[in-house]
Amino acid sequence: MDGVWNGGQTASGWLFDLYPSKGDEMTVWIISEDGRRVKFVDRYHPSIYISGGEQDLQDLVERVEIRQLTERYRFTEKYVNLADKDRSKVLEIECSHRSIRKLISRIVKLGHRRYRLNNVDVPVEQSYLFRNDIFPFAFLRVLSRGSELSYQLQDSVESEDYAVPPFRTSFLRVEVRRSGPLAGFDDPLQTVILQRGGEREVIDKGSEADKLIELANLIRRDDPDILLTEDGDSFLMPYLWRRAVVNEVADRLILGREDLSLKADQGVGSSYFSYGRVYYRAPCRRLYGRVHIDVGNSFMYPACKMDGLIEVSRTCRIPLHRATRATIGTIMMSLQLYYATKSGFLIPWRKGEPESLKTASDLMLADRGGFVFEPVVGIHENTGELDFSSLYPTLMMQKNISAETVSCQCCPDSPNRVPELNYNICQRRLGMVPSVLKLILTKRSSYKHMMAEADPEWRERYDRRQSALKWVLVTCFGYLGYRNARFGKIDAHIAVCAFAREALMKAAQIARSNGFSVLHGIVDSMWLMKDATSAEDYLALCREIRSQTELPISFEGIYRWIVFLPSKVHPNAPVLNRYYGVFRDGRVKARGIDLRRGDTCNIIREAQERMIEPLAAAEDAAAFRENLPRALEVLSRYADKIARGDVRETDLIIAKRLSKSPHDYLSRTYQAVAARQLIRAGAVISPGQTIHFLITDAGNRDPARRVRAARLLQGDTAYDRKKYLELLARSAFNILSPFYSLATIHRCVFGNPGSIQVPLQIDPLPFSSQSRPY
Amino acid sequence: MAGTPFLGGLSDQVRFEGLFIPASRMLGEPLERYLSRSILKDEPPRSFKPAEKACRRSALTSGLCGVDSILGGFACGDFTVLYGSHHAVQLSLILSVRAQLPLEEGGLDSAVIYVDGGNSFNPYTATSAAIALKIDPRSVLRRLLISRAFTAHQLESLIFERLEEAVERWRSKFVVVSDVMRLYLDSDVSCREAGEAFNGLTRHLSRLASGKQIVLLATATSFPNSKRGHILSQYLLSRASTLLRLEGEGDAVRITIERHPRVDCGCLTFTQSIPPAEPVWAKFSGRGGVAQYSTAGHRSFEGRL
Repeated sequence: MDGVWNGGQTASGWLFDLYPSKGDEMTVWIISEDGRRVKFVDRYHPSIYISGGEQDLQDLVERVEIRQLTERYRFTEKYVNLADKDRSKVLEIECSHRSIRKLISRIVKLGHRRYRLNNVDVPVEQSYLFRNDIFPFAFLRVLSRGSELSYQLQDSVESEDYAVPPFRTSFLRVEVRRSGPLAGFDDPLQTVILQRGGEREVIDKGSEADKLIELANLIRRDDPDILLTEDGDSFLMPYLWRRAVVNEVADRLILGREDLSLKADQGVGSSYFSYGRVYYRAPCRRLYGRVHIDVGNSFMYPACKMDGLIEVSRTCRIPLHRATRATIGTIMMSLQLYYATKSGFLIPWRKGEPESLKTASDLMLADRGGFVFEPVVGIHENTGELDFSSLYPTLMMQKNISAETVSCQCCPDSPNRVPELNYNICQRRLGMVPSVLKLILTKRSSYKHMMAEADPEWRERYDRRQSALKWVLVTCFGYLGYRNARFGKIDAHIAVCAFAREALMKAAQIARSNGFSVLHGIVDSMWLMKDATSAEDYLALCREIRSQTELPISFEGIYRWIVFLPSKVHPNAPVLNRYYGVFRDGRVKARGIDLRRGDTCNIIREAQERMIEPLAAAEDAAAFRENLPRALEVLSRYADKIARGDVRETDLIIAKRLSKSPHDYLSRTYQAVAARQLIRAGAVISPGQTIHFLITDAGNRDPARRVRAARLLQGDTAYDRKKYLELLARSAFNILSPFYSLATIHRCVFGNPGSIQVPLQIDPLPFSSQSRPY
Repeated sequence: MAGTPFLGGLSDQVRFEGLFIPASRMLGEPLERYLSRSILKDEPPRSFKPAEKACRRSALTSGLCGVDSILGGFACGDFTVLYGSHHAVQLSLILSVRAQLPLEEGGLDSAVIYVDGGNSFNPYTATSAAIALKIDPRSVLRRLLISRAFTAHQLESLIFERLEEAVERWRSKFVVVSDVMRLYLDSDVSCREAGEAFNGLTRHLSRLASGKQIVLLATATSFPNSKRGHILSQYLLSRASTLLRLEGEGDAVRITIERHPRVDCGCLTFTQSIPPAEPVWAKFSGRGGVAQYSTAGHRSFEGRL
């Protein structure tokens, strides 16, 4: 650390980290222009707001138990509800961040309906950023006067051409002397490995205490800004802390820049439910002045790396350590909180905005999702794909869709109306959601343009940034309808779907009027066919659609051929979003098949990819059919490999997420069995965690012997060849079912290898007479 | 049969044919004599007044003969709770259609407000009931106003801040709060907060029913065996002026009238057969069921409606 600066000092650099310290301070770290890491301390009391009757508020502030926790208070005017036209008088209380919980509890006791609490759960660091109108990684000038700081921002959150501070990054790993199959907190530390750039430091000499102290020394010496780990939140940090305690050096295990020893008790993370799935998040192990990124506990880092993380941290004004672990919804919400704060809106503690009362007939009309044209099952040639770009966020922005703007009271006669439902949309003011989206959409669009002209290094950087922003956009729609979203409302969600349906239907009509047939459409994408078309024809169509709908739509390409797959259960029934095809430029695109699924093991994924390869070489449907036997040859080779036992363990591992606690499963699913094995071996398993396992004996009467958890494998475990052959057969049938019967596939997989005659008789798909293009 | 059974002092089991069982303690005469004076199937005995008294107020009939003959319908001003199996929600949907019938047909000729706290609203049940009652389903859906709550706070906001205004605006005489407890069972709400908030909510509903003289019906189908579940169900069940428990029994529904403000019915149970071909039991007129009656602590009687 290069020093604590206060008392008249100034520095120019990037805002790197911040956190509340003591009851009324905010510590801020700057990476200065000249490379120093400088710490400042500012006095800061966050504010909470209470709305209610004027006399009630006056009574509240005079109560002793409230005054005890109040630093300062004042009456001010804010918009209490998102739909309010006028500000209302509210009570603002500044308090120490440590007192907020107690203050909330005391106020709630006095009547939670009488006193509405606002801004009570905005993270303190973020409220500090909002109040000072600065953001992480902003380039700014800090001036300290006494115990207070002021900032001169020399950067803009809209900037796309910003400089990133020169980080120092280290990667920390440990090796444990295991006593059992799994590393446990009681197993002694064997080796510590710290990697910085190309240099690798290995600490394996001396006692455990020596190693831990040496680790702290190395980190102090290298002084990284960012410390990367794998499973640092769930295992590594709590393990190091535990070993430090056992070896009585806990007070010397200082890994952050503050003179604070690491404290990371075992703890249990949290499981949460999202879009029909349960997810797990390990507890956060934070360092101070240094950012710990656990790549295993971050959605954004693996997807978009540091470039993406910095982009969302800047744009959404969320500190880096929080951005790495937060859900993308939380990241997006940070931006909403900022806009609300700057616009004078209170942030309700408990979101209580219910659905507007509507008739049941309106509800039936309204409560629908995106429009779908069912696909025409089978193989099609010369099919073009058009996609609306960021359709939902664009609609929200263009049509001004937000919780407070849909069915607003101020513009009942607004010309801006939701199609089919006729809800009015506010024309007097820009909604919260569109305000937030404008920035993200604009930046993303800019990055995509910049990619086209950039050199390879910057192209990749811009791609990561736009990809990170894309993830944020993806959540905007879901958050409109999310029950706990502060600024969401189901009616706004419904409105977006209505506009989207109209857009797709209009686009389909325009396509048809230009002689195209619609083979498939789903929400924001269409697959069209027309004889003797070129890319130019599709681009012209895009221009027409864009002009008439005022929505951006792009041409993805023309497929040489594309196969829309049928239902696995009902061969005559089409399914949405399950297809594979080859563009004219040779790119393969697949959706919904095994190679795209996260729970497919490597060997099956590879087999399916290899089966598609000879098909991808076909120029048209006729050539495709001619190449089908080659796909079966590939299948046969993989079947042979599996049957011989010639597949590595790692290529057979299946990953499944636990939807509940392992002991709550009524039937012994593979993942529940494997999870119980891990628990018996000492692991802590929570719902939402992904369990990796190998199928050892699927037919065993004892469920505990049917699978083996991957972490418990020794490298020589026999796998159930028959079961994996079944999985292989199923994956082959998933892509070849329009052309071969299951019996043929089974013969190929379970019959004698190499005995398939070429050419094969192809079983036709029993088309229904309704299977015609639209 | 040993002893003479007295209503209210019955010591033995009696089997009889013919009739429902009236309120006990009010009459205090030998059951046989009472029954000898009782009348035909489906008609209450002349001496049985409470149902008739109940009918002086506007009342919404259920279409289930046994229940209606005892209660005279769900009266305005009452806070009724249907709880137990999913049939409680089904019945609430059927009643939402029946409420739109004219007064002379046992309805309230009223728009209906349906506050859905359990995402249980099913328009198809409503339209099936409409068809069975020979009402245009589209007009039924147009007079059925619905708002869904997805958190306890949204439900509170709806009930405390929007419901009364909606009742006045739509001049509604029938309000349903479906699955009123479910959102308070969510772990997002602390147990203590759930208890306090739910207590206030049920109190408000009860006052709204009597204050606005509307039929206010709440359903509850989740009763977890937990401290929170017990507390919440206590608040709900104790606030109800009319309390009906519904339980599925194969292809029948057992309806037990556990409480009523004007009919001292002890604990009256009906079993309503649902013909297999008729999934919507609004079509079923109520004939052919089996009535059971038991006073608290005494044995049960059986009879046929």
